[in-house]
Amino acid sequence: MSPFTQYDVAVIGAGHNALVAAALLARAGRSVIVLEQGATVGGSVATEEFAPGFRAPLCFAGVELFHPKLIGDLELEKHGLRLLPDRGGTGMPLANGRWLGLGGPDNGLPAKDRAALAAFASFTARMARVLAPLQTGPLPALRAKGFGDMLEFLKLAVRLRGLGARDLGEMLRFLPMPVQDVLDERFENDALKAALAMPALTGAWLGPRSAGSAWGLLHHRPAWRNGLLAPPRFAAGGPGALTAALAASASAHGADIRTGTRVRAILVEDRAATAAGEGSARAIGVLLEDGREIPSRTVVSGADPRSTLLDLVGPRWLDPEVVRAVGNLRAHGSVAIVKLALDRKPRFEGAPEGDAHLAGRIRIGASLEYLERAFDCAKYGRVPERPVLEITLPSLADGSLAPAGRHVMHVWVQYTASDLRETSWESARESLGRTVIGLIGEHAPDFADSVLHTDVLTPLDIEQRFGLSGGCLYHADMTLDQLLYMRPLPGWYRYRTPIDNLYLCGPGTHPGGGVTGLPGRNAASRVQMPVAGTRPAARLMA
Amino acid sequence: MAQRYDAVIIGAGHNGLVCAAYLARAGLSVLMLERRHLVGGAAITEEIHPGFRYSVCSYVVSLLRPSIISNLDLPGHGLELLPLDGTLSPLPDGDYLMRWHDAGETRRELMRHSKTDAEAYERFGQKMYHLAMAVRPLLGEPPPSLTSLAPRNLRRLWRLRGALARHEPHLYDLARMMTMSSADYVEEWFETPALQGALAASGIIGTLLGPRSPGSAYVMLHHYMGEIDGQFRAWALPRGGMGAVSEAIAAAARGFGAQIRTEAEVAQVLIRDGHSAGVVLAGGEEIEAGVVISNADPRRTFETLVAPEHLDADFRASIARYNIRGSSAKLNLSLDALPSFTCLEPLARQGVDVRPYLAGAISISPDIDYLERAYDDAKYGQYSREPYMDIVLSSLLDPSMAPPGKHMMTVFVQYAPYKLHGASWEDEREAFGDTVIDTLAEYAPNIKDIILHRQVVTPWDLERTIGLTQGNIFHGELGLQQLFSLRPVPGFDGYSTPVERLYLCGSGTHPGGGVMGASGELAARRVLRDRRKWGHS
Repeated sequence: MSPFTQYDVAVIGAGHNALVAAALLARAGRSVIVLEQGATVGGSVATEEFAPGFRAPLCFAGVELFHPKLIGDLELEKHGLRLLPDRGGTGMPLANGRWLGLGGPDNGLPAKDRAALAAFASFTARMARVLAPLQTGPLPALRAKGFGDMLEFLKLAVRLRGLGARDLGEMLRFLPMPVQDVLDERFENDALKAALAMPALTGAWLGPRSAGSAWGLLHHRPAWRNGLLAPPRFAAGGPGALTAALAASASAHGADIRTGTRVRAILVEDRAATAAGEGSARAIGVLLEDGREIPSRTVVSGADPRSTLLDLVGPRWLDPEVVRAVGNLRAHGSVAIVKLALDRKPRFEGAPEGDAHLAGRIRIGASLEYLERAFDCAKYGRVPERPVLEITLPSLADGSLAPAGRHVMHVWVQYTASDLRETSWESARESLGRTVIGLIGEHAPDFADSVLHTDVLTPLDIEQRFGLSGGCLYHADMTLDQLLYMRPLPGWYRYRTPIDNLYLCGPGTHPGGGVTGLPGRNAASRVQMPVAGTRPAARLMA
Repeated sequence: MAQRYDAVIIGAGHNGLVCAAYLARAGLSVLMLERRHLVGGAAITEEIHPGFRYSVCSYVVSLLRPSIISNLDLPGHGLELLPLDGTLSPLPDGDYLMRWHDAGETRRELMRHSKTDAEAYERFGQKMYHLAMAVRPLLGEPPPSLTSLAPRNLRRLWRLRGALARHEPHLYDLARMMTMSSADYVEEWFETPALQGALAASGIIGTLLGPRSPGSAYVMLHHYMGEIDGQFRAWALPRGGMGAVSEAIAAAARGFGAQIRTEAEVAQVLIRDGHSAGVVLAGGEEIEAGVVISNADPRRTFETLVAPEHLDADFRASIARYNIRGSSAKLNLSLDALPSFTCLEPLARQGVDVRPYLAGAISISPDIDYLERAYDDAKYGQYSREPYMDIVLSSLLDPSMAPPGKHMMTVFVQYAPYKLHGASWEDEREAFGDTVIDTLAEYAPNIKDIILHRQVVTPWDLERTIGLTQGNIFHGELGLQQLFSLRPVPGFDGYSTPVERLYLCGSGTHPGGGVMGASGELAARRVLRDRRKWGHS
């Protein structure tokens, strides 16, 4: 007999989405237990001391995509979250010691590109506003089952019509396009195009020429964020402060959070065995690594869809077609993180005086062709010699992250495939660190001398440490065929799975990856407590 | 001033011819104007080398709508289709993969490579069939606008919804197919690299997409929608080459009373009082017409045939960014003998007649990475160093294509990007031809010794000679952003244009490329409907 009483909800994992779901469900009065295999909460949204006295974001540097409504609803500021004011913009060191500053008033672009940038900013802002309900979700049911569902669709249709035929036509055309075509149509400056493409491609298994990459542009410029070239928003103490606040909020609402507690399996019961009629499996709790069982009325999994269904549930409970579909879910790792401890601020050639330019994001990848060539390497399982870098210096605004006068640099490195064909990440790890330092050094001559310590998190580390299939931070590639109504799989947009009472709440569900908290929030809104002895009213495809 | 016609059609490509036939059949006086000395556009046969008949550009039929074949009685006008019996994929290791028309034989052959693939292949075929059936209602109809609230449009949307609902189980599959890459799609089904390559290749034909580019799976489906004599997704050669298709449609059009003038180049569309009123020929001759229908691609139509002052700046901008990048080339070869493929030698040594293996299509697409690398070259402005090829030895099925004992080989090649980085096609044409032959020689070593004549058709030639902007064989990329009601550009239905009484009828309109004829038929329907509106003025 289990020593645990039955919970309403067992949440697997304590990543930011799982914590959002746990906090919201606990707030709604459910009894919630959160089971995290790691020693601390947060998953990939954490702050890590990677060298004595130096702390840096583990994966995601900024939290600017986190939905502001959740901060209020979960009283995260009361629970310790402090967001630092936005500073800087986007800076790009270019060849021959030049520097391109974007996002500020005087950006050194030709007048034509400046005008095009203003027009593009306003177009993307209009799209973001209209698409906000789709981008936040949950999505309205495809097969309307009553007035409420119909109304959702009508509201959406009216919003879209509100754009006007011209913008609407343009938007329909825009969304499935390769971001390269979108940018080539509008801009001339190569570096500007690259700077605009990079946010669209962040974390993606897509190059600038891949159709659908324009969607990423919109994904990273939702209505609640002010612009594509806006700086990152840091949490005081690093992104770990966000997940700590989420955990505190969840606990305050009564959720029971257990770290160092690994779930081995989801307990499933064959419904046909217990009731007459149509057979259907349902989740009844979880089995821990140590053999203990935790009974629960529902299970909400923050693990990725493949691990959840194939490892934790197991194929024997699933229809062969589902096993095939889940097995075919594409989840590519494309990101490595390099953290550097620096004994001084970097000095980029051609950069303006002062350090405002270091406060935002610094991007290395001078043209769309540079980005495409880096992606080419990943396609064939090679580590790019010239990867795409997204650099932040969180210690500039937050002195608590490094000893006085010293700094931490966080480098998001793309495209690094998790499956390398000719070498392994064990042997490629150190050379990746050197590659990154060398690449930055091309624009900041004495940079290598300032590096006190290097820490490399490879896609393989991401896979093993967070249990993410393929090392994919987004749990499933954000490609057109795995978005919206098809995320993670066609028809699975309601956060349900083929196992009754088992829900998904990670970024493998709509609206996808990045630190938004929205998959967690949406999943929480869909969780329904089963009524004893009856089938859940809504089915997967509803 | 000469005679006034109800309709003048610019360009006698297959869609223009279909449009002319349907309009003439409805009783309109129709004049077709073709710049070249022969009709057909890219669907032509020319005797380039004495005794050898070249399907210079387009070389196989599958997509031609069965309704057009029967409505215009094309068999009665001389069209005879000879089905291709299979596809041979020679492999670099000396093996091959053969897919026959006969399912049982294909299964036996696939078993040699992979048992699971052999089993999956039949299910795959069924899946593609169902998906193509689900798309079919979209092909025979003008696409409904997604932005218009006009009652007629709403009715059409509703009908389409109904048609799609009948295929509901396949709708999600269809949505995936519309958005995935052909490589991802094929890899979900099969494990044999050669089979993956051969199937994924149909997703890149005519496009500047790689097999790993999202959207290429739709192009694959587009190529699966064909039907020959009720045989689904069969491909065929017209007896006498592709020109025979055009000749048959032209004969049908003439039979309905349409007139066709060749060597009559249109310089400009005449526009009076805000609507088109006829055309001006290159020699200055003016021809008056109730409507003008352009079979030229959207770029050519609106950038050279219509003077800019008749178009607003927004529209011109959207035409200027219409994606029409050329990516393919052709080699047409007169051969002294049959090429001997290394992979078939063991069979030949056993005394097996290998001619049936060569009588279908021959696909040089050994695996997906091969195709993707070929695309990588093109991305950066080079022709593929190891190109993808789709080859047909047309004389094996149709001996009239070459003198007795000799053979005609047509080689479709990708990628040949229209814009070469730092070079011109005029300078590179023969070097490109050599690259193709060198690659082919890896599979058929005797090829270099048996070539009597070689014609290299580059995207630049397709533009200059046939009039295809940038050499794009589909009159514009089959990308999601320019399909259905977004084709060619958002804002109007595709056949009608911002210039009243000026229409498009080419592949730049829905449903797009391939020798399908649907665009021509749908444009004719649109013209006939609109004419009632003007009261035949």
